[in-house]
Amino acid sequence: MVVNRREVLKAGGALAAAAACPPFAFAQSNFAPKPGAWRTFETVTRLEISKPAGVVQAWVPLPSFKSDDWFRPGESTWTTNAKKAEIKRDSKYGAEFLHVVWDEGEKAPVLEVTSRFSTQDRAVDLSRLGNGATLSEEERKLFTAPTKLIPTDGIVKETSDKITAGATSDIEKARRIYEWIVENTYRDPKTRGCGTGDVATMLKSGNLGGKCADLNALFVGLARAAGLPARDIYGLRVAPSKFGYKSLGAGSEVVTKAQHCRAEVYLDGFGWVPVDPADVRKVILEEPPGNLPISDDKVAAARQTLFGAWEGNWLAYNVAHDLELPGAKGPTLEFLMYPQAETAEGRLDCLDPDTFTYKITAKEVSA
Amino acid sequence: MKNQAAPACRGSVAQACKSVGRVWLIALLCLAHFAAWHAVATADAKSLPFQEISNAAPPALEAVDLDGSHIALDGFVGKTVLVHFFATWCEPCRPELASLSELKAKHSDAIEILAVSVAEPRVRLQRFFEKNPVNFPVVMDADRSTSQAWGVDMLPTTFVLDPTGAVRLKVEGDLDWSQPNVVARLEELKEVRPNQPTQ
Repeated sequence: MVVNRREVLKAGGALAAAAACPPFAFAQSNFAPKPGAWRTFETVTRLEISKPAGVVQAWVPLPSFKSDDWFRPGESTWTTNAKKAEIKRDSKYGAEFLHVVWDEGEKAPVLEVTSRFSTQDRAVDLSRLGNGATLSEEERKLFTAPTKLIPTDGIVKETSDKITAGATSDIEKARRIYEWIVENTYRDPKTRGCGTGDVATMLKSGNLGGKCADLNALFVGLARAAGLPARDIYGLRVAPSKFGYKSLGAGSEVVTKAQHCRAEVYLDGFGWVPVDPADVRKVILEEPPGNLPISDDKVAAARQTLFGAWEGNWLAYNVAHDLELPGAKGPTLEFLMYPQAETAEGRLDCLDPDTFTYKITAKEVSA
Repeated sequence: MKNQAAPACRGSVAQACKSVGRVWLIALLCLAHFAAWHAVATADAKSLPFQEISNAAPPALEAVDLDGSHIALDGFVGKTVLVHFFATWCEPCRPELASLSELKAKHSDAIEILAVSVAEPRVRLQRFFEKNPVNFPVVMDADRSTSQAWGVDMLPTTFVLDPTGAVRLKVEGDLDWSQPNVVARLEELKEVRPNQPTQ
């Protein structure tokens, strides 16, 4: 039995009122990312396969997202003792990754990939229609379509319809969905189960706690179900937050576990608008001293800012879903945000870098 | 126990009155006991977390366990089987695995358990079960095809099959399998034959 489902759906209506509140209802803050200063970063991803068996392969995501106004991927180079290493590109989403194959019997497979990219803060002025880039029909279709983890029918559509009922514009729909996620996605200790990994079962189970890949996927699913093109961008935090948020940046040069997925929604007249409701929940949970009330000033500031703006301290890998890894024996990848590898024993655990083994570092460099 | 018959009854009539009184009293006591039992039984039945399913044929299930051996569901016919879908990252799933191990240990002659890990790599499962061993096979549903075929919308989800292989019960969410009313329900399934109602 789904716990809290009805209450969750009812809350969508209540949130309509909250979403209509003007920005000045939230706390004033200096959390104000502003475009204008490009920064260049270099990441180094080092893999050492600790228990090679049979033929060993690896697939390492590369910065491949492109947007003239905030993200420019640079060159990637590598060193390895593999017999083959080549950049591959997924035809549907343009995700690039390095595919590496070692000789069978290689006792110490090693790979080191160095990538560069440039980025800057983003901030879309949502107070007036600008000259946002137009979206082609092909892109509109791609970014409103369901994926394996992001269905757009059934309970996802039902929930989206409740949240956006009566909204008179796309931006209002998007903001209501954003606010609903901020208000409702927490782990209720009374719920007895979890979703299976996709946003529909997340809603059905009533267990709405989760990490960025869950919560921002939920945003994307609800937005797509409302007819708004939306996408997750899978990436990696590479630097601290300039605005003092410990939870919203990388704490050191070692960013092995700093993967982070953000989201965008396309709004006519504004173009792609950055959003990150998952990071608002992260501030609530992790910003010192931890477990902040939703009314806390730091939370309010993040909530205000992260609809329409991002800090440029993050690497954007790709927007891919349901990716077939060439040569892989394991399953299709639901998203590519971590290094992947396989041996004859099967796919390695990308969430356990200490036994995989891999390490990622990042530093800011001169352009 | 004193006969509460009217004090006016005397002699053989009084004796008859006493007997009738005892009979009525016993009947009343039996009725009260039955009512109390029925209330408890009804409450227990209602409080059971199972969804009753009418004799459904299960989807196919053939998968590989953590040692690489092939395990098929139809190899378990003859016992009550729990097909349990879980993930190690799902917090409510973890203590339930221990509960299932205890159930299996106490009822190994009548119950089999087949745990299905949804979309997790083998190495992660091997590390988990090294620290948290269980006494039943664990197979992998790496591409989610099995959990989708079984209509799994939540983790954990457990399907209970009777000895003929028909799906009889479903539980969504975690469960303490040591509860007497839960064990009693599973015991009932031991005697189920094809097309036999379960209630």
